[in-house]
Amino acid sequence: MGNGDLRRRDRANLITGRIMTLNQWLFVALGAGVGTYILRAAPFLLTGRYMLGGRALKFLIYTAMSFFAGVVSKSLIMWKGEFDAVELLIKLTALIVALALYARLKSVLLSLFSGVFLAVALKYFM
Amino acid sequence: MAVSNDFRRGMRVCVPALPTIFTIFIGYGMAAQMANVPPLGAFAMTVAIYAAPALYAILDLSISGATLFQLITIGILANLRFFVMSVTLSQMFRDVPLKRLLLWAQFVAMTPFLLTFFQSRREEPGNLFDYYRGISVPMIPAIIGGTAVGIALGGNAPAELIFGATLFMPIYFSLLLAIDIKSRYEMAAVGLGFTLTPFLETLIPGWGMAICAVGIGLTLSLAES
Repeated sequence: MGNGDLRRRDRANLITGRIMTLNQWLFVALGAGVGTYILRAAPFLLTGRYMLGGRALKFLIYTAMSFFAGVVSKSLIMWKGEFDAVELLIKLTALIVALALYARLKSVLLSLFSGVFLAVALKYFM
Repeated sequence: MAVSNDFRRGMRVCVPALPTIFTIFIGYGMAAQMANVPPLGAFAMTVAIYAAPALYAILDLSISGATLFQLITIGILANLRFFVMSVTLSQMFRDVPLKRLLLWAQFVAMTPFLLTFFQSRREEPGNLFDYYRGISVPMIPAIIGGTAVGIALGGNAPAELIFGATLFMPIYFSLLLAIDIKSRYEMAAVGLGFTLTPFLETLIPGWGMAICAVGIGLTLSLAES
């Protein structure tokens, strides 16, 4: 065991006062995994055989669009749960450049890679 | 088993999202190392739960000394959004045999859900279940590989690389949104989701995005009708 491992173990001991065993972690994986699978699979059993009405479908469409936008803003604004104004500025610049390139070139991949490379370059030099 | 064109199309469309997915799970692998999770335990959690936010929530709670029951509960609650996603997908996959659906239900996640949703809105969506499977398959090595690399790296990944890789998904999704918005209600859903989610996520970590999306969906569908 290296010094790094020892330090990590000591840190975890200091914070929690205990170290969970492999079996305990496997138990958590099994419990949370089964619970999550039920959430994922239940709708296929419950609603999949029936056609939902117009209002319900609209609700699902707007919910999906909002999820989509939420993923984008959460990733841009609070990646790792922290707010960083400089990083946000870089990300927004990259996003605007990517959107502008898409409007001009109509190529998703080219716009995407240009935006990301611009962001990495800005991050490197700032 | 023959691979259909829709399956291949799904694989292709998933490629731009893979660097972000890979990086998210590198982050999880690193966090698992710091939280002293044995590698086998970290892999088991990745495979069984298959959703980064829940994994992070469990690690956070484990550091504060929670019980096993609390860890399992937070893992399940953090994944409640999958229920809404599966309801939507169940409407697209109504002709697929139940056995196959239950087999592939484990892979319901943000990226396959959103990309399949967008495909369903095209004039000729094709076989959406094959498309969904095509998206899900390349994600598996990205997720497991990301966890492995994160465990191996510990805290030694270059910051610029991590930063760049995390941008693929938000920029890709923004481009897809810009292409796909079809009505002013959809524009409202996007605008409200974009602005309100960070606030709600700050107020209710792990729940904000789901509550925000469902609230906006409900409000707009009622307003339109």
